[in-house]
Amino acid sequence: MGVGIKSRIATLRLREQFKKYNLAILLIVFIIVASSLSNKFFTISNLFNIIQQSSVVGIITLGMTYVILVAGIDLSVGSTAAFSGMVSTILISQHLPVIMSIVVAIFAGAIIGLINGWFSSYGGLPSFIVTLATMVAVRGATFILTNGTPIYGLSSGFTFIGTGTIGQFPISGAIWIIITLVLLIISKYTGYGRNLYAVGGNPEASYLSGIKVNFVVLIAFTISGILSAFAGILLASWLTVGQPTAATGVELNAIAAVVLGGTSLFGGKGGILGSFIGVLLMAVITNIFNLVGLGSYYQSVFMGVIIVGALMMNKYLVGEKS
Amino acid sequence: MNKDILSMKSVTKCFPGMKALDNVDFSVCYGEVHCLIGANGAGKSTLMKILTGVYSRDSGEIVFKGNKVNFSSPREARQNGISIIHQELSLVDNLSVAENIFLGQNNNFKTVNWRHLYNESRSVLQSIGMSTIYPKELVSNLSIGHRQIVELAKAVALDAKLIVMDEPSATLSGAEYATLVRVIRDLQRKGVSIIYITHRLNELFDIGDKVTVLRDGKVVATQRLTDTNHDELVFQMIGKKVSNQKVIRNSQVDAQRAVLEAQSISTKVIKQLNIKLHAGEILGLYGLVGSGRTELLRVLYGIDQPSSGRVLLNGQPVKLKSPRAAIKKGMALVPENRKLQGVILGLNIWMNATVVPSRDFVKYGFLRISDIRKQVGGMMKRLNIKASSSNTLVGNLSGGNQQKVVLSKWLLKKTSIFLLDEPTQGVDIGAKEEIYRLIYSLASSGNSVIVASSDHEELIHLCDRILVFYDGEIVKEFIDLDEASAKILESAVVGR
Repeated sequence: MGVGIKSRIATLRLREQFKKYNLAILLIVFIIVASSLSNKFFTISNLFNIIQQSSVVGIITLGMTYVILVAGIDLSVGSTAAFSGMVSTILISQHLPVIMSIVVAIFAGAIIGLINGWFSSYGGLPSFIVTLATMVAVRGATFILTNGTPIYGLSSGFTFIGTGTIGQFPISGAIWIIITLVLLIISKYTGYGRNLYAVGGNPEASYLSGIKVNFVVLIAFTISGILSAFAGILLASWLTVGQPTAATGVELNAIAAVVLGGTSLFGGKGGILGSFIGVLLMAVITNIFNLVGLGSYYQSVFMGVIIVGALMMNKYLVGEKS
Repeated sequence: MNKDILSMKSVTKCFPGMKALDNVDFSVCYGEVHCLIGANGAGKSTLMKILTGVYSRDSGEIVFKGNKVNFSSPREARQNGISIIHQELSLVDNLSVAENIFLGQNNNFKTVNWRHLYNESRSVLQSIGMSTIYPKELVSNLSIGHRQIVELAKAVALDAKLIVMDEPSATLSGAEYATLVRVIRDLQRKGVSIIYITHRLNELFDIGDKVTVLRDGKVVATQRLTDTNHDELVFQMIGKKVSNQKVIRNSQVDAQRAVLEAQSISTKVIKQLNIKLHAGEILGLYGLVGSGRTELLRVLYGIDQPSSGRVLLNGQPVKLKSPRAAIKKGMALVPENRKLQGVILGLNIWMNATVVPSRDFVKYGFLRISDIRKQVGGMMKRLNIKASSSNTLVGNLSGGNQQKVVLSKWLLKKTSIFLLDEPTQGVDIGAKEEIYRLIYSLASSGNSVIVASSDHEELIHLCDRILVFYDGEIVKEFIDLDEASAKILESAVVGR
């Protein structure tokens, strides 16, 4: 019997290990599947393409991760992205300097984030409702800006950010990776980052320990607003057009990626790295669909099935009965 | 042999890196109150979770009412006649007593017969002699003691033959406890068997027939309570002798220096309270739940704002708008409810121990993690926190160790006024001694401590002076603690 117990402890250890790296393992599995389905997958251009396509939703997902870590949710990210994309392109089409246009557009996103954050913390409302309201209102405001018409003819200085490359590596992808690293370091090695987890894990204990709970939440939403705005600008730059319908529904992709990445919707658990891999995972799956020529309607159906399937498999493999 | 309702044989269970239960034999007779005791982490809850199907066992067998059983969920155990009452009660606050008693028995596809529901609840409550509880009352309006009774009624309504009670008395006042004992006796007479888990050893002799002691996942002894005594049980639980005597200390109260003073503080609950806390003093606040002791601490710590009165620190009036402001003035709170207010279960020890914002831990905006971990490691040694490292999740620690983590966050912050609300609730006897010793050493190094507790023996053991609360007022001050041990209970119940 002693041997039985030892081997049982060994399998439990293995489970712990698996729990730690499960997401990376899943990503590798999908990459192997992808490369066996199509020999085009492992080409430089395809891989860089994946990164380029992921960078917009990837950046939004990073902000979403902070919000979800404090047990909030931000449904307004898509609308914020569209609004800031429009603001930046309008200003550029009025011949304002690129940098200035971008700063103004990001500032607009920060304001939206502040509003979301204030009502969800000091205001005492559930963030689901607050951001649902801003999602609708900001989308409306986006249409009002140009009466619904897109903005073309953007300067090459602006479109370079979204379409340019360093060597062959897309600039937008590089930006995404840099922001990921910055947010990762903040969350792991600064007082604010630690407070994100404390507030999400137990707001009451955090308050009694002297953490400014409301402030921490406010800043998380503001960061989400800023990053959504930046992602929206990047999208406009990449598509070389400002569209009021841009980034519709991107909030759902972002939330899915965060959850796939192992962050708990109840807050306090998970992190930036998981979300980064979560976005990559979804991008690889989409890429597989495209490479095998699956129609977009079918893609949606399969994506939904795969997300739930992956989460269930994860739960089954690592989850103890509790 | 046949008179055992339950017998568990050689039950073994492993968790990652540890053996939680090692060949445990445990059996309960029909109509018996069998107590289960042991330090935190001894395996009591694991054993009960295996019995009720929350965990699966690695080996061993369970025989219930003569049949081998293998419950895969608490629901299945319940259907077979085993009910468990957890320390954190599982009642739905916003439903009525009647709905709670029959919770889980409603068929989703049938309409509710309200009259029947209320009548049935009334007869269940009557059968345990508690017809004073009104079935239509919302559970949120009941006292803690009555909620406990509703939990019992729930088990009775399910026709449970074996009821597991996990520390039912931890939050009860004296009168409520007496009611609980009476109800348990009633159930026993009806042939119901009870497994009673507690940390309060004196209770065992009131209630129990037999006691089983667990230590480190093994059964140390099973014996009739008439064949043993308090000291022997303690010895069995912790494997060494603990002196029952009060630790002799030189109390160094500086009666000239009031560090914290409350002048005619009132809120909804408390009325015109005046207290003074001196340098080096351990001041006890005694009273039943709801008597105002927790409410006073909340005001002193800046959580609630008083409707009138003022707080003075070192003779200076201060306005404490938040816990953050109180912390800045050197105050610390160990809250009443450890899991909800004290620790962050999902974070590890060092993160919990350094959750109080402090400049000491930050350099150029970044956490000095290696330095923090060194300090926390030292604190873990000083407080004897049992964990493999400071990376261990606090949720995996026992109650006593969790409480030490809460204390360590204030020790690392270097505070001088400690407000402790029920600091040893749900803490095992070994850890309790350690916490007492820590409180002594805090006071003798010049800090001031307020301890609020519903355990009068604890306060008499610890304090220099005890204030008794009754209905929002201070009704008695005990400076002579011998007098206190004779009269404190009376004065908290009677209000004089």
